[in-house]
Amino acid sequence: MPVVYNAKKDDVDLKSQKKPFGVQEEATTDKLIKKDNISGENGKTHKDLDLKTTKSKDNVTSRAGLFSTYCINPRNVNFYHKDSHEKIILLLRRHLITNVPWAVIAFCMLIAPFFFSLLNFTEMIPWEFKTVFVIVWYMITIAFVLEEFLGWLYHVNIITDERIMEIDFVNLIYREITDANIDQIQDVTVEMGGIWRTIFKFGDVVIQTAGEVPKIRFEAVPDPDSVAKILRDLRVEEEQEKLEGRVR
Amino acid sequence: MIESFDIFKTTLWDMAKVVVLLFLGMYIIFAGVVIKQVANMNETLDFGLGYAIKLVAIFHFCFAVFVFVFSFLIL
Repeated sequence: MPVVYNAKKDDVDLKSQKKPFGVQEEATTDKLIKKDNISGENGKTHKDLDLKTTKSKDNVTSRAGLFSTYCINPRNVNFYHKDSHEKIILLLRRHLITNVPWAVIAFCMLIAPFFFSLLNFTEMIPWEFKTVFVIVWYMITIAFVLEEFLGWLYHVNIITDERIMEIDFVNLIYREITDANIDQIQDVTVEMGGIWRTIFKFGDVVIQTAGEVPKIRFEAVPDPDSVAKILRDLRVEEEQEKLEGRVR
Repeated sequence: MIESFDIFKTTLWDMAKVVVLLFLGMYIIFAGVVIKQVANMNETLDFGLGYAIKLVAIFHFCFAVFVFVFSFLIL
C-alpha cells in the first residue's frame, strides 16, 4: 500500500518546471513513497506524472527562498550538526501572515515623523536636532524591522528522516536548538483555532517526545495537518526500519 | 534674566547633543552585534541567502557609523 501525503509548497522546481509562489501542489518524498503520485493543475493525470517522477523521485525537491514557509525536500538548506547521511524532508517557518502585526507597527513608525511635524512644539527645536531626531527615529525603525524579520527568518522547524528540530533565536544573543529523534516521538497534536488561523490555514503542531525536552512546538506553521501526517508516516517508516533491522 | 535663559538653553541643547551621540554610539554597538548575530545564524542555518542577509547587516552598521559622524558634525 503506497504511503502518500499531500502538501502545499511555496516554490517547487520539478524537472525544471518552476511553479509560481503560493501554488498548491501535491508532492512526495522519496523516503515515504513507494510509488510517486504527483498531480499538477494542468489536467495531467497521476499516471502521466508517475512516468515522469518515478524515474526522478530524488529530483522532487524545492528551493527554500527568503519567504518560504513550507518547503519540501529543500535542496539548499543545511544546518548545524547535520549528519552527512541525514536528509531534510521539511523546512517550516511561521506563516507569513504572522508578520502582519509587526509590519503594521513598522508602517506606523514610518509615517509617525510626518504627524510629529504637524505639532506646534517642534517649532522651538533647532533644525539640526530635528534632522538628527528624524534620522534616529528611522534608525530605530530599521532596527525594529531587522530584528523582527531576522527573528522570523531564522526561527525554523526542520523535519529530517532521523529527527525533528526547532531552531530559535530568541533575542540578539540567545540561541535555542531543540531536537528529538523520530523514534522518540510519542504523540503529535495539531492545534488550529481562531479566525485568522482558519482562514489562512495555519496552526501549531505540538510534538510530545520521550526525550529530555518533553514537548516541541512548531508554532503557526502552514498546513499543520499535512505536517502531522508527514510525522506519522515517518514514525511508521522508522518502526518498519526497526523491525527490519535497518536502523542507522 | 534673558542671559541666564540663554545659558540654560545652550546647556540644554548641549546635553541633548551628548545624549544623542551616546545613543548613536550605543546603536553602533548594536549594529555590530547584529552582524555577529547574523554570522551565528548563518552558521546554525544555511539556506543559501546568508550572504545577502550579512550584506544587509554590514550596510546597516555602515549606516549607523555614518549617522554618528553626521550627527557629530551637524549638532
